[in-house]
Amino acid sequence: MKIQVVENVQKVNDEVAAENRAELRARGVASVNLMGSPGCGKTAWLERTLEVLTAEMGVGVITGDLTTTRDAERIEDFTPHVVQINTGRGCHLEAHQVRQGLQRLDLDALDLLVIENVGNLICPVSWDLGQDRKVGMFSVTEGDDKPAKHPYVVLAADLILLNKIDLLPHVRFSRERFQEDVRAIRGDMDVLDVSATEGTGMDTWIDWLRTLAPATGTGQDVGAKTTD
Amino acid sequence: MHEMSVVSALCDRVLEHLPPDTRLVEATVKVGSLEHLDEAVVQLAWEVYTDDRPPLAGGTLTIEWVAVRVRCGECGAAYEPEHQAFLVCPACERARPEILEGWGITLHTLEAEPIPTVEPPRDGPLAGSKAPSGAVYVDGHEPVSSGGGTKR
Repeated sequence: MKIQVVENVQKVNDEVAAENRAELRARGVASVNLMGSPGCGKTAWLERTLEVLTAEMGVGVITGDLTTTRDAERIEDFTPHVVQINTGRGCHLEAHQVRQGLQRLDLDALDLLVIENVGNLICPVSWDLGQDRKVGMFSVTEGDDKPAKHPYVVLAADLILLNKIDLLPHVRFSRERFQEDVRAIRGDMDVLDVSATEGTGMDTWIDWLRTLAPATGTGQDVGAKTTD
Repeated sequence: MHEMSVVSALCDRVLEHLPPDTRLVEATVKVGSLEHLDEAVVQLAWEVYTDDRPPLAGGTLTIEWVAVRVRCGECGAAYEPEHQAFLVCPACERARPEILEGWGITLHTLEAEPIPTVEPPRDGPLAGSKAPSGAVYVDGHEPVSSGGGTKR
C-alpha cells in the first residue's frame, strides 16, 4: 500500500522552535542565534557585548558546546543569566535543547537572549531554534574564502560579523574578496568588521541589538514592554 | 554530521505514519538542494537507525533532490540558478534571492506491506512447542501482538 504523507521531517523541531519563539515574544525577550566556526571568537565577542549591554538591559545567554562548561563560566562573569548546553557529539543546537535552556532562565529579567550555537558553519543553519535573528560570524584568521565555501550560513543570516579585524595586517586575507563573495550570495547583506580584542564595531553592533531589544532600564520593566 | 539528527527525526515521522501491523517497503523523501546533506551519510544513518526497529528494518530510503528556485528581490524574475549557492539573477545580475524552493526536508510517500504472520510449524523440530497465546513471531525478532499494533 502507498501512503501520501508530505510532512516536514523536522516538524517536531520546528514546532518546539515555534513554542520558543512564542514564549520569548510573549515575555518581551528578543533573541539572536549566533553561528560561527570554532575559534572565530563568538564567546569573546559576547563577553565584550555583555560588558556594554548589561548596563542598560537584561541579557541572557544559552551557549552550546560538546563537552565543557567553559563558555558558561566565562559568560557568568558578566551576567548570571546563562545556561550551558552540552550536546555530546551533537554538532549543532536543536529547538528542544533551547527549550530546556529557557526553562532554566528567568525570562522576566531579560530583554535579550543570545544563543551561542555550537562552533560549526554548516549544521546550525538547518535548525530553527525560535530566534528572531540569525547572525553569522567569520574571522580573518579563517581565510577570505569561507563565505564561498560555506555559503548557506550567509544565505540564512540577517547580519555577518567579520571578527579579528585587528589581525588583518598579519594574515593573508582580502577584505574585498570576502565582501564580494558575501554580496554574490546575498547582495543586501551587511558585513560588520569587528574586533573582540580592540572593541572595533561594538557601537554599531550594540545599536543593531537595540533595534531588536529596546532597552527597558535593567530588564525589570520588561513585563510592561510591548512586543510583536 | 547533522545527517544523524535528520534521519532520527525521519524515522520518528515514518513510524508515526506507518499503519499498524505493517512494515516499511520504501520511504520517499524530498530534500532541498540547499540542505547540504550528504546522501551517502544519510543512507548509512538510515541503516543504523532502522536496523533494530522491525517495522523499518529492510525498508528502502529514496531521496529525491529538489532544485533551487529563486525569485529575484530586485527585478522579480524567477529562475533556477546555475550554482547551488551563488544565486545571482541572470536578468539583472543582482544577488537578492528570495528562495522559493531549495530548503526543507519533506517525507513524501510511504510504501508499506502487511507484516506476514508465521504459523507455528505443525511438524519438524519445533513441533509441539507452544507459542505464548495470541503471539506471533516475525523474522526472529520480538513477539508482535497479533491483535494490537506492532512494538516500535
